[in-house]
Amino acid sequence: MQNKPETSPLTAILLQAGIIEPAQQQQLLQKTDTPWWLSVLMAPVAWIASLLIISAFIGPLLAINNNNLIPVIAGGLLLVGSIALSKKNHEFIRHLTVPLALAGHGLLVYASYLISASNDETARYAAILLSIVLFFTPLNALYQRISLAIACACIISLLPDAQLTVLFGAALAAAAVLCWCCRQHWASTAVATKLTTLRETLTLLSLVITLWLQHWLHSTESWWWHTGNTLQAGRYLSSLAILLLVATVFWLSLHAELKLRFGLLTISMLVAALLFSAPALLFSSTLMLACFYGCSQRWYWLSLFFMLLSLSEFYYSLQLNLLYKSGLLAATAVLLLLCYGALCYYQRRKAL
Amino acid sequence: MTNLQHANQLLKWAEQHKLGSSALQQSAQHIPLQPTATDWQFQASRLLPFAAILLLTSAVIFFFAYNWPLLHYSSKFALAGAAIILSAIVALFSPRQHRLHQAAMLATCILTGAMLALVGQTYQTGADIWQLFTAWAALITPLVLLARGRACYLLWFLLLELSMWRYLDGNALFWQLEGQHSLLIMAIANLLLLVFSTFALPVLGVTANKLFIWLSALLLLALLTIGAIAAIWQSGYQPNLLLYLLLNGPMAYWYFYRQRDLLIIALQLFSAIAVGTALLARVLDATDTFVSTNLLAIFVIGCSAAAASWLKRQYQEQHHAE
Repeated sequence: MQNKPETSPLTAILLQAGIIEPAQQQQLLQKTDTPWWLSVLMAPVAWIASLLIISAFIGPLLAINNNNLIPVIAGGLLLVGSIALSKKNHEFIRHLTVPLALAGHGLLVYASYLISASNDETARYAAILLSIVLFFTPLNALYQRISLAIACACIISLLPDAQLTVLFGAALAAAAVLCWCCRQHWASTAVATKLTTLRETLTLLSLVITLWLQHWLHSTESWWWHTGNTLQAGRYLSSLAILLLVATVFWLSLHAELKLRFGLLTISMLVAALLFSAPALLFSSTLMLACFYGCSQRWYWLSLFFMLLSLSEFYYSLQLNLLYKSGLLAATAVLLLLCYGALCYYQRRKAL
Repeated sequence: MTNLQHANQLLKWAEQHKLGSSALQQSAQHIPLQPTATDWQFQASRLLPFAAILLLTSAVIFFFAYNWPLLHYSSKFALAGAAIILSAIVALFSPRQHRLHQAAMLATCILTGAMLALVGQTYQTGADIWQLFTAWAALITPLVLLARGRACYLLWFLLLELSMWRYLDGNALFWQLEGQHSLLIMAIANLLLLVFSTFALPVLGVTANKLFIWLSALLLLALLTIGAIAAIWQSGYQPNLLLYLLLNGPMAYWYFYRQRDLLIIALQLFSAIAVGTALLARVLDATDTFVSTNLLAIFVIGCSAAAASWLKRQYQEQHHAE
């Protein structure tokens, strides 16, 4: 095993500047956040474990009789127990609460399904309501993320037409951008922990949903719960993507010189106009800029990865022929190369 | 980039309530909490050439995929060849460490595939898709070795994985549990890729090799886990289980004690939980459903929570002073 030094350059800077005390330095050096890969691995495991608990409960509950109160009590007990255990300062117990809370959530949704005489719409509303209420409890952040993702899936399934789904997807992306752009303003507030969970969930969901919308609105597949003009909705999605990109560039360049700001806005509008038919590419580019502004390299790279996925998906979009799409991509590439050339020229001139 | 990492760390500490509002404001006077103009320029100079080259090569691929029935095949080849030569010239005449050189090398690698696809389209060779990927990976190998760039190596990795996947999937149905040999071969191939990523890539000039190690380890463990779980239910998969048992020990030793790579250890632990759950399900096969489901749930929850808390402790110890 490698021996690590006892200090870090960052805490040394803070200590030297008199911002922190030596005792606080030790506290800062202790990592308390969960690594991203552990959350990624724990999410499916917790999901499977909660399904096992639910299936273990449902059999006997059905066998007893059709009393709707029993799943409510069982789900409620699991949730209350999870909330109580979440307050314990023990790592093992904190991880234990995730599948238990998910199982409790699931059982309450099941109870709402039984109470509403097998109406699945009521169950979806119940899932959304529970996710919102439980977001404000001290339950584990991983549970909150899974629960919010379930709520978003339920909202999408409840939306009556494609236009509203587009609006919802764009609103999620806008909220994620806003969270990243204002990160330094809310980072030290009392609700920062909740907002961090919300920001990460919104970013991931908006990347996935906008990619799915680009695919769905331009394909011939039909989705049973949606009706309406998907072609028109596709245009809305592209327009909203352009609006978000330009607004983000406008916000990020607030402190830039007027000439530079004008140039950046012109370039972003040209890119947006050229890639009008690939809205997911525009959304992921916007999120990439916002994540970079929010100083997170991990989310920046994830947005970049989604840009590649969007580009691959663009190949299969049926609304334009391949020749036209090829022209659009080539024109965008030339524009980016010109920008790179201008940047190199500017840097060389600055160096002289 | 260090400034941005520091800013991210400061904001994280504030979000975790370890650093107060006034301390954060004071810190901002020493470390800016948002990217500076230099950070933006640095990032743009990294991203723009790669994004432009990627879009340009995609445009070329889209262009040839359009088919052009009226365009003579020699003209198509001339166009594709010209694109390859152009990108190769840019790569040749740009400074070796320059981003444009790396981007042009990547473009040459991608366009080689476009040329191969064009050959298949023109002559209707009837070649399977795995043959295209294999030929593509083989042809770009010298370029990848010369480029020493992560993007080129990533493309090469993906092509190798895709060609293996397409070849073996064409001969066996993985998901119907009929592909024990295919699973085994693919696991061994990924083991070779893992060994290559761990030992050969740094020698070949790719020091930032973590991504390749993680990718090959993820695929290796996924394939081994599927094989091991299947072996619990079907005797035909016993060689897969044997390989799983033989590899896990040395891997755990190397990546925990020598490399201290907790992600791979986490993958191994969660894979062991999956195999253990399948084994327990087999043992409890004849038991009452209520009892078996509850026992399985307790096993999964207990093991995963224990693994997660142990991994987090190791992570905290590892990063204690970073």
